[in-house]
Amino acid sequence: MEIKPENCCIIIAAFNESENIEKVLSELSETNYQVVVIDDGSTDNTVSLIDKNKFFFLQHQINCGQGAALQTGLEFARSNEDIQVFITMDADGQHQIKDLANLIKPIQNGKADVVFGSRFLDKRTKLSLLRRLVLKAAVVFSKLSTGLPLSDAHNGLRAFSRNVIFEIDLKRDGMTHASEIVEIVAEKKLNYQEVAVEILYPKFQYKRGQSLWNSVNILSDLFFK
Amino acid sequence: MLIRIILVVSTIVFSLWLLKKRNSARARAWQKLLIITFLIGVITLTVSQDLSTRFALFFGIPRATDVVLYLTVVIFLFVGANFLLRLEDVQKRLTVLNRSIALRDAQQKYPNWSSNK
Repeated sequence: MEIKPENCCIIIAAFNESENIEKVLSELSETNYQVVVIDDGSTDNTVSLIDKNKFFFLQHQINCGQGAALQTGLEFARSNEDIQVFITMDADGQHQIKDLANLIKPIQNGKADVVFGSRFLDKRTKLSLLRRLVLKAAVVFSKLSTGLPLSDAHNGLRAFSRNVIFEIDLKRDGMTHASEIVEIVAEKKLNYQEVAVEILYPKFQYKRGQSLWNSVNILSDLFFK
Repeated sequence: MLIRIILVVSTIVFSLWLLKKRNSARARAWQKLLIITFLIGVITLTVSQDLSTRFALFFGIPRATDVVLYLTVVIFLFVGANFLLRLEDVQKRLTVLNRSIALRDAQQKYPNWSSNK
């Protein structure tokens, strides 16, 4: 089955991403993918940096969390029956457009309905020891709770086929949606694959340290879900 | 000792039931009745030392002040958990509202997006 980029929709949830969103969107504007950006109640100038003529733009009036914003984007995207592949991507520039073709391939070949990007399937992604340890702990936790032997449990770059898109109904608003997706795949026995992707960590993230602190929030959300 | 175990287990089971069914009218009524009963009980036990001593001994607790402390902790935990769960319910409703506004606006902005259905 041949799937053209016009039949693939990239869903990006953005919250206070003024430092990165322009670069991410300018790269995407050179492709033929359909792009839906959901502003999750940003309080900086993220909204003004999004070209509403080039991209589909949805806006949450107040901040609800990445999971909530992605679900809004998925609901919008799946209402168009021409869309065959739904891709979730982060707004902070961590994900690479060059990986999208590989991500879609298993769906194109009919080998999977859900494709998870993994930063641990090759050596391209450079990780600090602490980050590696936290991510590996998440992998072990995910395997224990769902039984899925994924190599990377919290990678925001993933693709879903139209066959399964209505099964994805995210109830967890925050960052725990990543675990929720893995749980849905395990529970509904969806056909999945992992493909190698590269994650670039912008320098400012190390300064802010948001990802690692988020892992504490994710863990507590999982225990008290 | 047995009566203390029964008391702890029944408190946990009943609290969990109340928290799980927190939105039903019956559970909400029970919550209010329980909080009022607990408050009256704690006040009575605090005021009447004799009564609190007898109450404590009935449950096999040697000191009356401990009974008041235990009850206060139970009320605090129950009210705290109930408050957090209600907050989560409100947040979920807010998300649904937020989403429906975003999708409604999008439908108006992009009428052709889903017209191929």
